[in-house]
Amino acid sequence: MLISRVWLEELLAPDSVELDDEALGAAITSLGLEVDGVTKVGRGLESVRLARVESIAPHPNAEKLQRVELDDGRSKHSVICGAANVPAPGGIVVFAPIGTNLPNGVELRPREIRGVRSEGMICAETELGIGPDGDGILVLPSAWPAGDRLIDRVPGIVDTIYELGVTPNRPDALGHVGVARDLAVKFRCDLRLPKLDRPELASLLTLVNLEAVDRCGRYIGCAFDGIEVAPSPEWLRVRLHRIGLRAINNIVDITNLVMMEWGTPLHAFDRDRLDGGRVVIRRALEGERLETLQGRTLELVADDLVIADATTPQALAGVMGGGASGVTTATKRILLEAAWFEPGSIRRSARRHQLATDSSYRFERGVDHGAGLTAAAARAGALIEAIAGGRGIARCEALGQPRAMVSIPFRPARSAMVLGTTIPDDEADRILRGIGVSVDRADHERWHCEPPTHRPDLAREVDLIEEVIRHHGLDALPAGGVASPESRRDAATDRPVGEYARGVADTALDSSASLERQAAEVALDLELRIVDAFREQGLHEHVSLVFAEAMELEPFAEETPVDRAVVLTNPIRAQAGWLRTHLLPGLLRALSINVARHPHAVRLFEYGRIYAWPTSDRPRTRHAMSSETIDAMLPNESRRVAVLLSPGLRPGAVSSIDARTVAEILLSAVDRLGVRGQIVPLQSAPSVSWLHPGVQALVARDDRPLGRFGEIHPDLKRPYGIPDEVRAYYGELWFEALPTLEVVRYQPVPRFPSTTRDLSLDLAMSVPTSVVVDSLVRAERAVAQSGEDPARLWIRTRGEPAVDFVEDYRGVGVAPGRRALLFRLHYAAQGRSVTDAEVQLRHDAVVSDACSELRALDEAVRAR
Amino acid sequence: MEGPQVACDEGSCPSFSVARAEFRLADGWAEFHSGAMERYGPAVIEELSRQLDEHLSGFRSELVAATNAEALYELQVRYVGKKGAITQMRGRMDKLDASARKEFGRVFNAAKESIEAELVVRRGQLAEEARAAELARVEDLTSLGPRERLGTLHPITRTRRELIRVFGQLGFDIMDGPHVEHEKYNFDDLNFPAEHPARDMQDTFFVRSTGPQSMAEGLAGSLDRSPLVLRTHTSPVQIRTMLSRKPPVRMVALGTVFRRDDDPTHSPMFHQIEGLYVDRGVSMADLKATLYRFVRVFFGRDLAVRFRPSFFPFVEPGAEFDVQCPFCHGPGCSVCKRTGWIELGGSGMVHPAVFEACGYDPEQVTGWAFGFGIDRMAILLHGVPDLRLLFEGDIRFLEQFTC
Repeated sequence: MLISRVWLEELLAPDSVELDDEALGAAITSLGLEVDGVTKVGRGLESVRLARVESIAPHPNAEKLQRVELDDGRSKHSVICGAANVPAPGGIVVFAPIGTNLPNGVELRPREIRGVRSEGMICAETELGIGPDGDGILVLPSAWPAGDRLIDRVPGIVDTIYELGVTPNRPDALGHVGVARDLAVKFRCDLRLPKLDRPELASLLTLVNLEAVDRCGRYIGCAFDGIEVAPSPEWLRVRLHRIGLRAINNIVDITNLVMMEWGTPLHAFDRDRLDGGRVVIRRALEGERLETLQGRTLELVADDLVIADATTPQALAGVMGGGASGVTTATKRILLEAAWFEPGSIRRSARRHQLATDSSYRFERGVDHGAGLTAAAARAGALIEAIAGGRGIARCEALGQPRAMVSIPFRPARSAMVLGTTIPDDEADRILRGIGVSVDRADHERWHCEPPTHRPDLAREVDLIEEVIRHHGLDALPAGGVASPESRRDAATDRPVGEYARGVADTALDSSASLERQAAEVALDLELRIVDAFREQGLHEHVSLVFAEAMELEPFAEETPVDRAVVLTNPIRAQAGWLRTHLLPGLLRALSINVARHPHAVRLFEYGRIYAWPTSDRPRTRHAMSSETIDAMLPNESRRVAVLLSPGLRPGAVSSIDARTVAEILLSAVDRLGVRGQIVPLQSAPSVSWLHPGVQALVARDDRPLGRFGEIHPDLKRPYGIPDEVRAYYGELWFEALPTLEVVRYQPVPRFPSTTRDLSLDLAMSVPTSVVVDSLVRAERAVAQSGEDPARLWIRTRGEPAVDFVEDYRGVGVAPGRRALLFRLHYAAQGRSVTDAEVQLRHDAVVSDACSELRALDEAVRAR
Repeated sequence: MEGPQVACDEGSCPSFSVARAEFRLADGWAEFHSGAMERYGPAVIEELSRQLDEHLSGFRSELVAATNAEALYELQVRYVGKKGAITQMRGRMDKLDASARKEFGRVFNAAKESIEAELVVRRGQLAEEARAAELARVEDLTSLGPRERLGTLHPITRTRRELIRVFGQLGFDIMDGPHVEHEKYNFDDLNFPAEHPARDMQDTFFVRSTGPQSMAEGLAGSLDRSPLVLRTHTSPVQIRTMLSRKPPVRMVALGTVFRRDDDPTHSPMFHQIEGLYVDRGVSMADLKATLYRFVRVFFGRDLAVRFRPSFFPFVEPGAEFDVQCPFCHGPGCSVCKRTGWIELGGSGMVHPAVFEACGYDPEQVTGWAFGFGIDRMAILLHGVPDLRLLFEGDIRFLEQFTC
């Protein structure tokens, strides 16, 4: 919404705006009408003057050019001009002398044009930046005296234009009167509205037939005869141009001007093209058609409100007029419409037909259905008579069901409580009256207020409180703290109000709240620890968009069938219309970006949610009210944390990154929760198809899986354009499976040195290391203990027995297809040094028992 | 050590013991040994002294040649160890008569003491030389290989944690809610009228409430308007909190939100923080004071806070709040676009209609709420030019945010 400073000043008492452009902008912003931009226009045109054409002669060397002699009231000038519409001698044109800086950045200098000297320029509207017409020069009424400055003859050329972001609650500020009304309160000056005292028109009841009373609260139709459609006078063209509207003809321009003044869109029908010369406000018939002013044919539905003549729709009410009854140069009689339409209905029609117009924008937000509407109709009528030669002949006003008006109480004490500061009664009264509220202060504790029709947003007491502080100024609120706590005690409990803010009370007094808070905080704590654990291991946190393509989710159908994925109705890009059911696609997108841009290793992790519908039935009602029902309608949102590692693709570089690195990262992360994780090898867990079939495993605690990891399946990388040579490893932890944080319990530490025994086992490839370790631990537990403090396998933190895997050896001494695993076992007693002999004895028993157990998996197992 | 096997207590020089050593004697000594029982007297003493001198001079030449602790130790064992050449000579003294023994004892002790003293001196010398050599070492500490990068938190996470810390200090509970939200919580209960533009398919992502069927239909299937949306703000958490708790309520919700925008300054997914405080007699001045306090703690400076009246359906009076630019503190810079102020977010007094929707009595309690974008604050603080960089996952972007 563009607002003209010149126009605003016309609407305020003379000389009441003493601020410069920036300060005025700040003042407007301080009223909640945010100024998004300030543009100074018309600067540099001070030297441009009206000039009389003295003579016209053809250019000696150019067929299309003329040499025009001008008199600008002081001296004569000879100007070369190419325009076709140079008026005959005696006509008045606009002359920019040498030295003028035109708004388009051109500084005029004496020029030779095809050998003839030109001393300045005869200007078109576009060259002056004051209008849309660039086809010919600007020709002004010949009665205007040569020599006058253009800016003195045409108001609004030099102006400052403010771009306002008007919030949807303020339809009144979509016109200059509304903005001026706020400023008048701020500046404590009078609002100066255009004079509207005109004789009443005769009433003609048949002019308007309001059928859809629920959709149209008020409709004023005025009939005018004797219209002469022509270009508008220059001031009107400039005014519209300045606020971003294109001048079309005097009738259309007048309706636009009044809209920008009163915020009320008007429409003019060519009355001769209306069947019956009248309008019917009704719902459209299903399938009725309307060709708009822009030439589009709309297929109407029964919910659309139309302005029809006796037979056919002539306008989509409040949105756009029809082409058939639009004003043309041939129009002689018009029917002017000023109306209040039900906002929701206009919004629906505008959306349905994808027509967003200045008119629908205002009707959707709610225009004035009272005095402002009457004034807009009268103002337009006066202009039509003054400018377009029209003569008002009849008027008809129909009333439907307008917005219900309410009376609102205003309690100064309540205002002071809500705001935390007291605004004097007289100041509040001045402000409320200033914005048009009628105030009855008979009860000084509870004022009786009736909001004006131009402020549909004022419906409750708090709306009035907002008006008061908005005008009084939010800077008046103390920011240093609560003004006077002593004065603010709750009457019932006699405790100071707002005490929580000062850290005195605590919601923990409410036991249910405190339990809930605990749950939320435990979840947050878990998240923070896990995220920190990944960061500590040198990983970079990534946040990816949760949107995914169906193709990206299909590989994970084993875990989340694609038909349980959450689908968007209106995604930005049609293909990315699913919510992720897995974190891997987002990480693969990131990997693909990295691989395309650089050869370095990629170490990413992401914490986030995945989305899926639950398998159980969900309520289908649209009108669910209870919170249980609502929650049951929502999809599951599970939290995951995932890691993606890739050595990148640096030629010749040897990388230590592999799937075991991921395993170590996951185990360390789980360590941060005080839990000992284990790797469950491929052989003992179901595999997934999106990881390499031979390189994947689970992370578990006891027998409960906590997550999964492995090498990413090559087929999965290809759609992302990631070359097969770029190996990539992935791992994830499932939050719902993670244990709550445990307090670490102290484990006794042996004070005497442990004794180690190395063990090399010759094994089939198929026996996983973890199975061997488990076997050794089990065997050790089963071997009979002797004495009070026997030598045992030392137990590390979190119950982890001290069996170290040292080496995986293949080669000389080991048969092909087999491998030798080297382990180191640490034996210790609690309160004494152990002897070689007892350790050897125990170790031999452990090895022998473990081997017998392992023989079930590999007949040929032996200690080397 | 060559020759005799020596076991010795660690670090026990110069007093050490020689255990079960077999010693091979010098020829001359063997000769003396074979006939020593009977022969004594000055000749013997002379012979002994000569041998002592020989040993002594041998020792001294070897001492000079010994350049490390091990060699010194070996020397010590060989000469004055339990089976050392000098020590063994002492055993022969028993065969001397008392006066010869006394005389030779004196010479012998002097030699032995001299050896031990020289060993100490030499050891000291060697230690001094080693120390000097060690200290003469110069390393080029600038020759660093490629360094393992520190892990990093995402700038959004970093900012989010900072906000959690600050609002935790100010006594706010941390809450969150689902990303897929019911219209009732995202709009209705927050006093958005049924026809509010924010509810448009233009601005809000709608979720098909019917999972399996709609997948079969594909995206081109029915476009029925579902009551489920991707939450457009964190404000539904206000509703969820008030529905589940009795006042007083003092909470912040931080989380992911979604809007149908995609350009350098808008991402369809971004993050917000929402604060809510409801109690008896809570005022807008409290709100301003709290935001002021927050700004002071968060930016670590005394920066002014200013309100501009604005409109949000769920607050009244509503205001946008600006903070004095934390970079230039007022005069204007590129970050604040020369205005001296940074627009932070929206705020206001909880609208009575919101209280009514949550079963709170607006005559009994009042409250305020505020909200602002975490991503915007993060890119502002870090000077990131394009919001979309945050979500690409380029490690060269992410690894910058080490603190």
